[in-house]
Amino acid sequence: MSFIINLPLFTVILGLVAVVLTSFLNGKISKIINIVVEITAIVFGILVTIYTSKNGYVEYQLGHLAAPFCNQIRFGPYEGVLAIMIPLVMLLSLLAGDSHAKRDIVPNKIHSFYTLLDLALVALIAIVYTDDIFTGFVFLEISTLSSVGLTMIKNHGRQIAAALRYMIINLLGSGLFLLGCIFIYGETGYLSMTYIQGKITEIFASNQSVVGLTIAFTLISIGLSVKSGLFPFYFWMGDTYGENTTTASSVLSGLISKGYIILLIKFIYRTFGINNVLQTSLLDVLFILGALGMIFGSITAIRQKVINKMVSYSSAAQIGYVFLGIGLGEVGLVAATFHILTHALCKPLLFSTSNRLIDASGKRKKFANLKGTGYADKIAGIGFTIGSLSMVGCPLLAGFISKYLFVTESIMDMSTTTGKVKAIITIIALVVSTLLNTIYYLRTVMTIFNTNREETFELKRNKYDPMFVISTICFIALIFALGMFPSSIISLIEQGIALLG
Amino acid sequence: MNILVLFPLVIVVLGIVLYFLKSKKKVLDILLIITTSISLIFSLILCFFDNNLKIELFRITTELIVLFKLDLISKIFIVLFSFIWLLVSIFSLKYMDKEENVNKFYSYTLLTLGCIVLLSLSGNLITMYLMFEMVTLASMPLVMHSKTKESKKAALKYLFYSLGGAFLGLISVVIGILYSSNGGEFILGGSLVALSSSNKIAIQIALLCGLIGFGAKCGAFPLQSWLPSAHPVAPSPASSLLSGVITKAGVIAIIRIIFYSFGTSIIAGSFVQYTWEVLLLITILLGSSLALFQKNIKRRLAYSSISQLSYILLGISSLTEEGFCGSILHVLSHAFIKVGLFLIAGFLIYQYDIHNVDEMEGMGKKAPISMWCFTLFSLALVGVPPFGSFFSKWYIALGSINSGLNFFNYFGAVVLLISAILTACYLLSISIKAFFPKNKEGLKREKEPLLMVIPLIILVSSVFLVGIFSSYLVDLLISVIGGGL
Amino acid sequence: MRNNIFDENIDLLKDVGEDVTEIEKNEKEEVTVLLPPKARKRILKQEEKTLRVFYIISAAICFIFLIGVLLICVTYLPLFGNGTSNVTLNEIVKEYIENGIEQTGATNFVTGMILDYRAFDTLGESFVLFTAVTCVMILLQNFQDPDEPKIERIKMFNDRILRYTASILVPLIILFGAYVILNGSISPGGGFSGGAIMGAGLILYSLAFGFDETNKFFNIKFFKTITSISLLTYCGCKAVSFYTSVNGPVIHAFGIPGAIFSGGFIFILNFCVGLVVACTMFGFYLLFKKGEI
Repeated sequence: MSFIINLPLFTVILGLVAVVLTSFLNGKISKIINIVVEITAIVFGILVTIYTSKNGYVEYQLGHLAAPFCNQIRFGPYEGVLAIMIPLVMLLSLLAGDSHAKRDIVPNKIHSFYTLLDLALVALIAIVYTDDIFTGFVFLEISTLSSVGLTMIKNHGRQIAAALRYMIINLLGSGLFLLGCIFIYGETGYLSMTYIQGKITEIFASNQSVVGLTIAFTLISIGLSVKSGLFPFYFWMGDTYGENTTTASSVLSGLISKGYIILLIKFIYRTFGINNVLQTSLLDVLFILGALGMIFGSITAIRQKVINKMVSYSSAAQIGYVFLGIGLGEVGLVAATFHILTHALCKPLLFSTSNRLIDASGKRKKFANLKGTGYADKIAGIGFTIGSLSMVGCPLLAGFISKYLFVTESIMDMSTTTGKVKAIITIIALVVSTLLNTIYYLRTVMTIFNTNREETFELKRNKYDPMFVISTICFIALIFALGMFPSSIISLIEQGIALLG
Repeated sequence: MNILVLFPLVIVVLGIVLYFLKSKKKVLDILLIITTSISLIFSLILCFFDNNLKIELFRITTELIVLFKLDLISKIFIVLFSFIWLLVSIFSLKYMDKEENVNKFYSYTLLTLGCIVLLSLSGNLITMYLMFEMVTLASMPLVMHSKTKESKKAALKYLFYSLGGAFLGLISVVIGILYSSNGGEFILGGSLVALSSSNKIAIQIALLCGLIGFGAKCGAFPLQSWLPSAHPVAPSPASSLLSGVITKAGVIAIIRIIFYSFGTSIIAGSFVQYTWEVLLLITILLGSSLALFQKNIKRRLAYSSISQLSYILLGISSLTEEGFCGSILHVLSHAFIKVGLFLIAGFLIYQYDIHNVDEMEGMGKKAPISMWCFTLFSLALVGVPPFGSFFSKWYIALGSINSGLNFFNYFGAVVLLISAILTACYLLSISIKAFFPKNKEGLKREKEPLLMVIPLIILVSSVFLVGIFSSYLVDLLISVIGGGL
Repeated sequence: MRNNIFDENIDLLKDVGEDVTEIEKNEKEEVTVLLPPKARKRILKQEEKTLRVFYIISAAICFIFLIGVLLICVTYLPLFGNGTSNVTLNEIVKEYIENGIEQTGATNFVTGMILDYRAFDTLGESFVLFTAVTCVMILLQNFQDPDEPKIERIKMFNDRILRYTASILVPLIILFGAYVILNGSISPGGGFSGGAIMGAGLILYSLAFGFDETNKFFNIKFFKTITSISLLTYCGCKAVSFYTSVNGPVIHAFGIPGAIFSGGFIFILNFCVGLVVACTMFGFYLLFKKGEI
C-alpha cells in the first residue's frame, strides 16, 4: 500500500489547518499560506492522478471501520484531474486578482478573504473526493457559505444586495438537496454512495415503487442546478459575478459553480447509477434545460451594456453546455468534464483581463468607453482575445476541443430515436450558441482594439503588475495546451469515468 | 524535402514580424514584396515535386492530426494565391500611401496569405477546418482597417457569417472523420466506410450542412449577405483579395469535402444534390440581378462575385468531369478578373475619389489604360471567346447538361446565359459611360501610376493565357481527377 | 445610529459615479422622464403594483404546487419505525448498537456516531460554523479608521433584578454546560448541546453586566485563540486517527466505558466542539449587537 493514498486526506486537513491559521494572521502571511496550500494541493493531485491511473481507484476509509459504517473517500483518475484543476485555477486567479484584492477589500478584512478562498478550496476538493452523500452535503454548505462571503467581500452596496440574493437562491438549493438526501436515506438506509447504488439497483430490479427515489433525484438535481445556475435560475449571475473583485468572481464562476455540477455527476454515476437514472427521464430534462440555457444565457449576455456582466452571463451559457453533456448520458460525460476544465480556465482569464481593461478606461465599464483599452493594456487585451476565441471555439484552443467532443459524442448514439433527436438538438443548440458567442465576444474584442475614439476622457496606462502578467501567460499557455494536446487529458477522463461506476 | 510543404509558416512568421515593425514605409514595402515573392517561388518549386508529398505537424488526439499534403488541386491553388498576392502587393505599394497603419495592413495581408496557402495544402479534414477558421480570423482585420463604425459592423457580419458557416461545416467535418477509414485524410474518391441505409441519411444531412456552411465563405444563397457589406468597406487591395481570392477558400473546402472525403456516390442523384443545385441557381440569379441596382462600384462588383462564385459551385455540383474542369478554370479566370476589377475601383478611389458608377463619366479619356483594362475584364466576365472565362463557362454548362439531373440539365445552362446577359448589362454600361461621355469638354489624358497599371496589364494577359492553355489544363485535370468521379 | 455598512455604502455608491447611475436608470424611467413628477410617480407606482400582484400570485402558485408534490411524495416513503423499512433493517444500525461500545468506548451511541464513526462529517460541520462566523465578521465588523474618534457605545440598561438573577444563574448555567460537554461520551449531550448552553450563559452575563464587563476576558484575540486552538486540535486528532486506522498502528485508547475519560479522542473532540460552539454563539451575539467582538 503506497503512501500516496493518504494524500487526499492530507490535502483536506492541510487546507483546514490553513483556514484556521489565516483567520488570525495578517493579510500578507495569509496570502503566502494560501499559495503554499494551493501548490501543495496541485502536487498532491498530480501524484494521486498518476497513482490511480496506474493502479485503479482507491477506497480510503476515514475511521477504523470500512465503508458503510464509517465515512469514506474514493478517488480515481477522474477525481485526480479535477483535484489538480481546482487548486491550479484558484492559484492563478489569486495571482491575477492580487492587485485588485488590495484595492477593493478593506485592509483589516483581507485575511478573511484568504480564509474564505481556502475554505472554498477545501470544500471543493472534499466534494470531489467524497464517497458519502452527507459529507457531500456538509462540504456543499461550506462552499455555499464561503461563496456568499466571497460575494460580499467587497462590502459595497450592490454587492451586499447581490450576496443576499445569491444566498437565498443557494440556500434554497441546499434545502432541496438536503431533502433529496433524506429521501434517499429513507428509501435505502445508507449514506455511502457505493452501498446506496447497490440498494437502488436492487429496488429498481424488484417490483417496488421507485417514486420516492425519482423524487429524491429530482430534488437533488433541481437543488444543484439552482446553485450552479442552470437555465431558469441564472438571473443572479450578473451582480454576483460582475461587480465583484477579480479573484472572487473568477473563483465563483470558474470553480464553485462547477463544484455543484461535479457533485451532481457523482450523484448520477456513483449514487444512483447511470442505468437507474436512465430509466427515469430526468436526464432528458437536464438536457433540454442545458440546451435552453446555452441559448438564453447567450441572449442575456448580448443584451448587457457592461463588459463584466456580459462575461458573467456568458457563464450561464457555458453551464448550459455542461448540463447538455450530462444530459447526453454516459457518452456526453467526457465532453461535459472537458468543458468544465475549459471553462474553469477561460472564465478567470476573461474576468481578470476585463477588469484590467476597465481600469485602463478609468473604471468605466460600458462598451462604448472601452475603445482602445486593448492598446493601453496590451497583455490584458491579448488575454481577453485568446479567452474569447477559446469561448467561441477557435481551433487550437481548448474551447474547440470541447465543442468537437460535444458534436462527436452526440452522434455516437444514433440507434434510438431519442439518440437521434438529442443529436439534432445538440447540434442546433451548439450552432446557435456559437453564433451568439461570436457576436458578443468578438464584438467586445473589436471594441477594445478600436483606436477610433470619440470619448473625451484619456485612457490610463495600467501599472505593470508582474503577478497578473504571469497568471495571464499561464492561463493562455494552459488554454493552448488543452487545445493542442488534449489526448492525455481526454484519456485520463475516459479512464476515470470507466472507474466511476 | 517534405519540410518544404511548410513554407507558408515562414510567411506567417514574417507577417507577425511586420506587425511589430515600426520603420519607414519603404522598408515595409520591400519586405512585403520579398515575402510574397518568396511565396511565389516556393509555390513554383513545389509544382515540380511529386503529388502526395506530406508532412505531419503534430497530433491533437489519435484521430485528429494536423497534416499537410501536396496534390494537384493544392498546387493549382497555391500558385494562384501567391501570384495574385504578389500583384496585389505591388498595387498596394502605391495605394497605401494614403492610408494609416500600413504595417498592420501588410502584416494581416501576409498572415492571410500564409493561412490560405496552408489551407490549400492541408491534408485532412481537421487541418482544413483549422486553417479555414484561421483565414477568417486573419482576414477580418482587413475589413475593419479603416475602423469606422460601418467597417466594424461589416467586419462583425463577415465574422459572424464565416464562423457560423464554418461551424455548420464542422458537423460535416466531424461526420467525415467518424465514418472515414483513415481519420479524414484526403484521398481522391473519398474514404467513407460503413455505409448503411440508416446512417446514410445522417451523412447526407451532414454533408448538406457542410456545403451550406462552407458555402457561406463564397456567398452561396442562404448565407450570402455579408459579402456586399464587407467587401466595399475594406481598402481596395484588401477588397480585391477578399472578393477575388479569399472567397475561394470556400471552394477549396467544398472540393475537398465532396471529392476527397465523402465521395461523389453518396450525393449523386440524392436530395442533397437537388437542394444544393436549387440554392446555387437562386444565388446566381440573385447576385446578377441585384448587381444591376447598385450605385457603388465596389458593391456592384461584390454582388457580381456572389453570382460568379456560384458558377464555380454549380460546376462542382454537377459531379461530372466537365463541370469540375470548368470550375477550376473559372476559379482561375474569376480570380484574375475580379481582382483586376477591384484594383481598378481602388485606382479610381485613390486617384479621383470616385465611389459611384455615375461619377465614372468620361473616365475613358482621363485614364485610358485602366479603363481599357476594365472593359476587357468586363468582356471576359461576360464570357467572350478568347478569354479563359468563356471556356470555363462552356465546360460548366456542359457539366450541367451531363449531370443527369432530370430537370436541371438544361435549366443550369439557361440560367448561365441569363446571368451572362445581366453581367453584360451591369458591367459594360460602365464602360460605355466611361468612353462615351455626354459632354466631352475638358477631358484630357492624365498620368496613371506605373505601379498600379502593371498589375492590371499582367492580370488581363493572365486571363488570356488561361483561355489559350485551357485545353492543356483540362487534359491535366482529367488525367489526374478523372478516375475519382 | 452608529456608522454601519449602509452609511458607508452610500458614500461608495457616490464614488463609483456615472456608470452605476446610468445602469440603474432603466428604460421605463427614460420614457416617463418627460412627464411631470407626480404623474410619473403614479404611473411607476401603478406598474409596480400590477407587477407585484403578479409576482405574489405566481410565487404562491409555485409554493402550493411544490408543497403538494412533496406531500404526495411523503406518502411513498417507507413508514417510520415499523421495522420493515431499509433504514431499520440494515447492518449499520445493528453494528452500531451491538458493537458500538467496544468500537468507540462511548456509552452514548449518538456521540460515538458523531465523533467516531462519522467524525469527518462533524469536522466539516464545525467548519461550517467557522465559515459562518467569518462571513458575519466580514459583514458586521466595523472598520475603524485610526484617525477618527471612537464612537460612543450605548450604555446598557442597568437592571438590578436582572443582575441579581444573573449572578446566581450564570455560574450554574456555565457549570451545567461544562457538565454536558464533559459527559458527552457517557450520557445524552455532547459538544454541540453543551456549547450552546455555555454560549447562552455568556449571553446572559453580557446582557446583565454590559459589554465592558465581558470585554475583560472575551475580546477578539481570546475568541480567535480559543476557536483556532480547538479547531486545530480537532484537525490534528482526526488526522492522526484517520491516518493510523488506515496505515496502522491502530490506537486503542478507549479507557473504561462509562468513565469520564473514556472513548479515546472523543473526550477531546467533544471539548473542542463545545468550545467552538460556545464561542460562535456568543460571538454572533456580540457581532449583531454592537458590530465587534
